[in-house]
Amino acid sequence: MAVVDGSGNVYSNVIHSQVDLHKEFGGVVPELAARDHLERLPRLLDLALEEAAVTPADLDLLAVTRGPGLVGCLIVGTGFAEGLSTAWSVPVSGVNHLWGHIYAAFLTRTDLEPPLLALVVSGAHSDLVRMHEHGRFELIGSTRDDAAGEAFDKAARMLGLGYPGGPALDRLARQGDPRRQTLPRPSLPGFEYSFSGLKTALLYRLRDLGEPDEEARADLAAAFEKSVVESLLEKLSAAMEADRCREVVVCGGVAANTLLRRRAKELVAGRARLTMPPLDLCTDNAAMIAAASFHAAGQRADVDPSLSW
Amino acid sequence: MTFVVDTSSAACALALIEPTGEVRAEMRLPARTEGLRDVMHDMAVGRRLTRVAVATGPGSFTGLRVGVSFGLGLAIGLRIPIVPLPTLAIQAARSDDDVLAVAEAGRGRVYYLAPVGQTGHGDPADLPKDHAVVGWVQPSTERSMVAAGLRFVPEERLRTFGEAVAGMLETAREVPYGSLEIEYMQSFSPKA
Ligand SMILES: [Zn+2]
Repeated sequence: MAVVDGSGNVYSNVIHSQVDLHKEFGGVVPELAARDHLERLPRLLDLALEEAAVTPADLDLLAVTRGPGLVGCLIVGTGFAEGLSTAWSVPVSGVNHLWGHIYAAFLTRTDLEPPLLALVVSGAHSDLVRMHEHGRFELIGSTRDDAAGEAFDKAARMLGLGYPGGPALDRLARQGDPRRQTLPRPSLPGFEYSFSGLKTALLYRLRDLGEPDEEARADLAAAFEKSVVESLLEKLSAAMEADRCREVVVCGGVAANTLLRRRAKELVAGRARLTMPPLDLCTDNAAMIAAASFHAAGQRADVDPSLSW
Repeated sequence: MTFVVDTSSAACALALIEPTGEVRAEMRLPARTEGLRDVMHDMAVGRRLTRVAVATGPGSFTGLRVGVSFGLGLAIGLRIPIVPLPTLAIQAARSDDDVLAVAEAGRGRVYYLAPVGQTGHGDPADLPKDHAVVGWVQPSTERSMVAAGLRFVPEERLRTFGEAVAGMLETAREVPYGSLEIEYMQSFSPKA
């Protein structure tokens, strides 16, 4: 939950991570997620208001994610917001979570304006998106199978790392050398991604190695990460060539990855201005939802679990 | 005044109850009513609410959450107490006689609460048949229950939803906002 003003100042941005809850199950359990939301929302609301030092009377708008996501969680979030809205006589605006990831960049750089090209990478999405104007997005490329974050999670599991896999793989990869264990770089025509072949390649490599030692595992983590990152950036680069754009945004939970951040800077340098939100605005957060609500015309908070761009 | 919401059943119900127990307004709508949130808003807004009561199931995974989350947001927003009410107990309170209270469990199955307090869920054929039935289920479920030899108490011989809740509110206890627990299909196991 977050408190944000119309100029993009973030007064508070509190997160209750469900990581611990889902850790023992190795992934998100929808029922637990929705149930946990119900228990945590009251405390989060208190924290968000306290930290921002505001009262409900200071609020002009309630922004809430209407999709995409788990239906139980979306219903709890929007229902809670609607209840507050009735209590406080403040309107509610339903926000597309995906738009939120791009609007996190507008909190990062206040003079940012569309049109822009964005690479949105998270546990559920690996999307190349052209933002033509506020509230108008065009998906030009996405993944055919796993999203980048999903691929990282699965690879981390194969390498015996815990959940969440992304940060663990990132850490292990920092100690490895991708040149000692090369893996194929997935490549499809156009702006499509695919990571399932790479995943299979890792599986076979691990089988061939039998019991890989710590060094080999670190090398494999580095190689896997490199293949995913290079694949993501290859398409970003092609999209920049295809239609020149002065602004480029790399965002979403996977944009917290160290290698992706470094390589994106190198790739975009001199060709466009790159905006990458800081880590806490890359991973899922509420400030980005508030930011999106200022620029996107008031949408009803109707839940749509499979909402797209 | 207490705002009451139950979205756990095959029908959803709303009520406004005065501190004296008088039912000021009540309404029963089909489950999955379009614009249910607008209806809840219109009923609650601008009233001098002192308490929110929500039916906590068992019931459908999504339906239940619509009412509970709205009620929670409303209560916290107004800083007034929230009171959980078990769905089957509400239905049981609609009659003075011993009844089998039921709620839709999906796929033709029902949750039930027997007069001795025994709870469970099962197919219509597996339900205890010693008592007449009170509760809102899908028409198809109701037909198979009748076919299985169960008898429903006619609605007109029962208290209304609001009247039943008004009675329960005399003794119902509020809970802290963060401890509102809902009972849903998968977790609802028979208790002795
Ligand atoms: Zn996200």
